Amino acid sequence: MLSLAEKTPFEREFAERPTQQKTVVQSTTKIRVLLPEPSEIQAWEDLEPSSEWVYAYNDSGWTPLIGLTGRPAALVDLAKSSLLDEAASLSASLVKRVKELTELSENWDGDHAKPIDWNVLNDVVRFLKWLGEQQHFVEPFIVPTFNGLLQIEWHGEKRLLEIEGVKEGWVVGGTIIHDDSRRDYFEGQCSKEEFGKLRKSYDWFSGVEEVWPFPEK
Amino acid sequence: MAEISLQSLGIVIDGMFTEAVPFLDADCGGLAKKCLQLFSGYGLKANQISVRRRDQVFNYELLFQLFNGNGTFKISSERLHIELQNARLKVDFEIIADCVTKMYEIVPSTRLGTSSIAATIQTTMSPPATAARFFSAFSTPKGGIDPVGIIIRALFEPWPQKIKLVMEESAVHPEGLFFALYTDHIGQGFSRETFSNLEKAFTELLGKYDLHFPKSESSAKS
Repeated sequence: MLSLAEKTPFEREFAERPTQQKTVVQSTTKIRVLLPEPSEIQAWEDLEPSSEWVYAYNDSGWTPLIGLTGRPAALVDLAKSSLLDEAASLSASLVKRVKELTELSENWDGDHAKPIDWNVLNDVVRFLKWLGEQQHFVEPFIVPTFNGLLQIEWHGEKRLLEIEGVKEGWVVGGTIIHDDSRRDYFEGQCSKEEFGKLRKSYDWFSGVEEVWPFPEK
Repeated sequence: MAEISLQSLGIVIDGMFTEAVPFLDADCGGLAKKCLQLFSGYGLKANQISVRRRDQVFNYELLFQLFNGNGTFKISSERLHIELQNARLKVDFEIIADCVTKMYEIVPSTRLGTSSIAATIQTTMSPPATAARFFSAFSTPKGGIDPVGIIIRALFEPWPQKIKLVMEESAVHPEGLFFALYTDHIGQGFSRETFSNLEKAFTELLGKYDLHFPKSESSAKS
C-alpha cells in the first residue's frame, strides 16, 4: 500500500481530495488497464488527458486500485463516444474527421454557424460504413455547412460529386468538367435510407456509370 | 457578485396526458419508429427501444435509454417521462433541449396537458468557502441560528409559471451550492425557446441573490 508521501505530486493532490469528489466514470473499450507499479505512474496510451488514478480509502489509508477514471463524462462526451463507436470500422482518417466534426461548437466559423446536427452526422457515418461494405471507395471530404448539416464531397479531374445530408434525406449534386472547362450540372434527391441511389451516384463519379442516376425534373 | 460554476445538472420532465390512452390507440410501433428516426444521432438502435405491456388496456410503456443510462425516456398511457442527468457542460444544455423538444414532437400534441419540471443543480462557488458566508447573511436578527438553505416561490420573467427554488449548501461539493427547481409548463409544445425562457428566469432569480454563472457557462441568449 502506498503512503501519501510516496506518491507523485499529482497523486498526492488527487488522494487529498474529499472522497465524494472521486467519481468513477464509464470506461470505454479503448482504455487499456495495466497493473500499476507501486512506485511510479505509467503513461497510458489512448487515454484522455484528464484521466486520473482511482484510490480507495479505508481504515488502513489510501490504496491504489487496478483501474482509472477520467473526468466525469458529460452528456456530449457520451453522445460523441456513441457516434465514434458507430464510426469505428471506417478508416482512421475518416474517424478522425468525424471526431473533429463532433467537436464543432456553436459559432465554429466565427459567423454564427450552428453545431453539427447529430442525426445528420450519424446518417453520414452509416452511409460511409455501408458504402465501404459494398466496395472500396476513395475517401471523401466531409464538410460542415453553416446551418449544421454536412456535405460529402468527392473531387475528380473530370467529375465532382457532392452529397448533402439534410434532415429529410439527401441532396445530391454532380458536375462534369469538360476539356474546354465547360461544366454540366446534375441534381437529385433521395430519402435517408436510399443508400443504393447514393452508391449509384458514387459509381457515376468514379466513371463506372455513365448516366446520372437521378431522373431529370 | 459571487460566481457559481456548474458541476452537474439533472432534469425530470413529466408531460401529463389530458386523458389516458389505451394501448390499441397508442400506436407504439409508430412512436418507436419516430423515436428511432429522431434519436439515432445519439446512438439509439432499434433493439434498445422496448414496449412493456402488462395488460390489454392502460398498463404499458415504451421505453429507451441514452447516454449510458443518463437519459431515460418513457411514454405510458398517462404521461411522457423524460429524465436526463449528469449534464456538465454548456453544450449539454443543447442536448437536453434537443432531446426534450424531440420527445414532445413524437407524442401527438393533442394528448398533452400540463408538464411538471424538476431540475437539480450542483455548483461550486468562487471564491471558495463562501457558501457558509452566503447563507449567514440570512441568519436571524437576534443571532444564534445560521440557516443552511433558502426556499422561495415566485414568478420570474420570462417564465409564466411560478418557480419554487430550494437553495442550500451542497453535500457533494463542500464549497458549493445545491439548487432544486420545480415548476410547471402549460402548453402542448416544448420548444428551445421554452428552455431558453426557463434558463433566463433562473438566471434572473440567481441575480436576486447576487449569484451568476460565468459567461462561458451561460447558454441563455441575450
